[in-house]
Amino acid sequence: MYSRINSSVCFGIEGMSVYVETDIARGLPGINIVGLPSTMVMEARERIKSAVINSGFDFPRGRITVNLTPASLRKNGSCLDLPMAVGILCCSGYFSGHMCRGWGMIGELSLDGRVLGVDGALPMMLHMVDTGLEGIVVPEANRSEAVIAGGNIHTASSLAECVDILKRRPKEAMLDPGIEGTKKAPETADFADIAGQENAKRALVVAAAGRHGILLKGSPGCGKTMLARRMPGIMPGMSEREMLETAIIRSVDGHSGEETELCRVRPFRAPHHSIGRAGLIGGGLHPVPGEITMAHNGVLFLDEVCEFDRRTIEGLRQPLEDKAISHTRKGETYRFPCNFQLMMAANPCPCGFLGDRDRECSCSQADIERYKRRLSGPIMDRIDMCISMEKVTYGELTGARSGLDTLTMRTQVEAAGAFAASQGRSGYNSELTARDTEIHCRLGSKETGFMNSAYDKFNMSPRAYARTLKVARTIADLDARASINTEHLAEALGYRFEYDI
Amino acid sequence: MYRTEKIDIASAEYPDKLRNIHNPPKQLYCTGDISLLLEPSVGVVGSRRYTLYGKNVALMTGRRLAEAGVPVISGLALGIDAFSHEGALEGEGKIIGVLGSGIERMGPERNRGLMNRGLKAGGLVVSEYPPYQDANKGTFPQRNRIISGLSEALVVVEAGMESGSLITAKFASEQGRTVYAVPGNINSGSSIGCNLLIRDGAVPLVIIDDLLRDIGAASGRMNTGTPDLEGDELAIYESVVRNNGATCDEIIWDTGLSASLVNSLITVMEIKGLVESYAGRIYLSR
Repeated sequence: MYSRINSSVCFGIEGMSVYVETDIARGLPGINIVGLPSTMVMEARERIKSAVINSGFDFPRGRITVNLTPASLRKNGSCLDLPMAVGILCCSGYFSGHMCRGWGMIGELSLDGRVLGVDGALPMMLHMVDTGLEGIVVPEANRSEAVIAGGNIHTASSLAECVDILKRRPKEAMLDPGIEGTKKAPETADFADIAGQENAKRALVVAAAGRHGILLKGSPGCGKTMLARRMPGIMPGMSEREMLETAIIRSVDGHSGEETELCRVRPFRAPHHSIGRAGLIGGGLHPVPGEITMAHNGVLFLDEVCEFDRRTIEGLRQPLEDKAISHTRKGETYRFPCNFQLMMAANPCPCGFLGDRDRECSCSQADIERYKRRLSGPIMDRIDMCISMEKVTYGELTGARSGLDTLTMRTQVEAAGAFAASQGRSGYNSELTARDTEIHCRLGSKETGFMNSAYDKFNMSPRAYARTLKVARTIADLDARASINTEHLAEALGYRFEYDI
Repeated sequence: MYRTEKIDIASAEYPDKLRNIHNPPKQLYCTGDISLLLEPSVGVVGSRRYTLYGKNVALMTGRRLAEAGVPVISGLALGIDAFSHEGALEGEGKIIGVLGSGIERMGPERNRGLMNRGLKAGGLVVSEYPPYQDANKGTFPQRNRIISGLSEALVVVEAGMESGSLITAKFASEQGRTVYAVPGNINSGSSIGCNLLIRDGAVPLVIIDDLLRDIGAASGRMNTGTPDLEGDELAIYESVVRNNGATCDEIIWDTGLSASLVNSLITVMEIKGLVESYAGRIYLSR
């Protein structure tokens, strides 16, 4: 009495094929699970037994051996509960082995026989669809991900329902397939809600168009967080690939119950400054994505960036360059993507009121010096742009002049991207290498002269110089100009990082 | 290195102006040119926390006094004190630093370079404490009576509500010195102390030549007017002048120009040396 069921586990953010082999032999009753199961998989024994009995089936009396192949892969997660239970039912003759042939399933079992949702269902389903399975049974709770995955996917809310589906083996999926659907932009907060701050809005357009890391500096309550939250709205619309990547990461993170439409919204992650290294870049015994991966294709906003642990910020260096992070555990490498727009916010001094027009700063000079040192170094290396903000005055709040709104800003950003593409540049300007910078940011004699005087005047470093060129390239793209002129350079210089005390 | 001399209250080098105050120090430990003690000098003091406005005024006052040949007295503290001395050295003048500790225990460490440059330029450092005595909470306010005692006139450049400069100003008025205070915006926390001094009878320092004339030094030149500008740059310049330092947003609001244009023109004007930015605001260059 032997059966073999197709299933899958989530390995990092990828689905991997797992076959659940079940054999019932004579001997002392019990379940033995082999094939590198984790504690979570081992505990399935108790869940399966109760679920099978409470679903109205008889639990076989015999020595049950469950083998998870490939044997070399470490299996973690509760998604194997359902295939193991089905395998046991198959062995004990509730239905014949060929009924499950070509079908795969995932799901966690509850003691009463219900099928519960699992984390990472989307990558597992996508993998099973890719391997060419005829049909797949997934938990009802993962329905929204099943819609994204497409294919002949059926949802089951109980073990009995799953058995019913396997007996019927329907050819047509009950779910609307594909990622296509409503294309409308989701309702998010709009930049039009923010009065004044036109300078900051302009800077954000530049930052979004070139995916330049940006630091917002200003006293508490001047609207740094408000602006940052609206940033995903002005980034270019997501490609299908990006949507899928984001949906997969959301699925692994356990956002299974949320609307599929969320996948069209670029993620916005604002971790608290008490976050540790593993929380930020990912980690764990069975590595899970960190905030940087959760922010993939979206915005990572580090508010009060000076309060973060210095080493935590240091950890951003390599992922920012590689757009991915690899974790190695027990000889296995897990690779998580992390291509995000970096935004940071900081107060100008520890109390926040340095340079404020109305409030007096209560920090000592030594406090300010210390703060200044924290703000430079590792943080400065990770940003291309910096703007100072101040609270808007009453006149601006009540003024009738309408400011930029999200739609206008996104249109500008997308137009700049289209222009850059027409010039033969793919990717964002912040990613230009030294060689690319030389080719695409070539300056005329007038511009070179201007930059030379700026170099002396502002005591720039070569690194700052290169950064300015890249930002100027983005500004020229926004202006739809093939060459960079002095106005573009001057504006880019206006966004330079400077600790001016 | 420089030799430290001890000058007793009874000695001829001990200046009368200091001997005549309410509680003169029994002795002065001096490093540098002690003849400066007898020269008419001006104290230029202010708080450690400063704005760009205060920094520029301190630099300018120090320089103008130096150019007129008047030694500049200050406390060698961070902030305004340091800038008044920087200004004096820029104008190739003499400085007198009055310490709240022994000379060998001079602090803050960051100003030691400034002190040494001042000594090299023929300046003087004075303390009533022996060279190796540490400063404590009480010595700095005590030091302030020497600053005002040595000064013909005292200029308070920028002071908040609790600035030590206000103590210096109090000593100065008790000792019969003229107290000048640099007026600031009435809503500026960094100038409130100065503005209160003016309310209480200090002379507002509106034109530096007034100060020079008052202490009998030769009058210098006047400040130049509006630079030669036109179009949008002029509009921005005027907006900065009108608001007495403005944020980008205020200029955008004021002039109706686009954010990108304002940002780019400000950079151009910064390179020309017309304006400078400080803590998120654009100010006129001095």
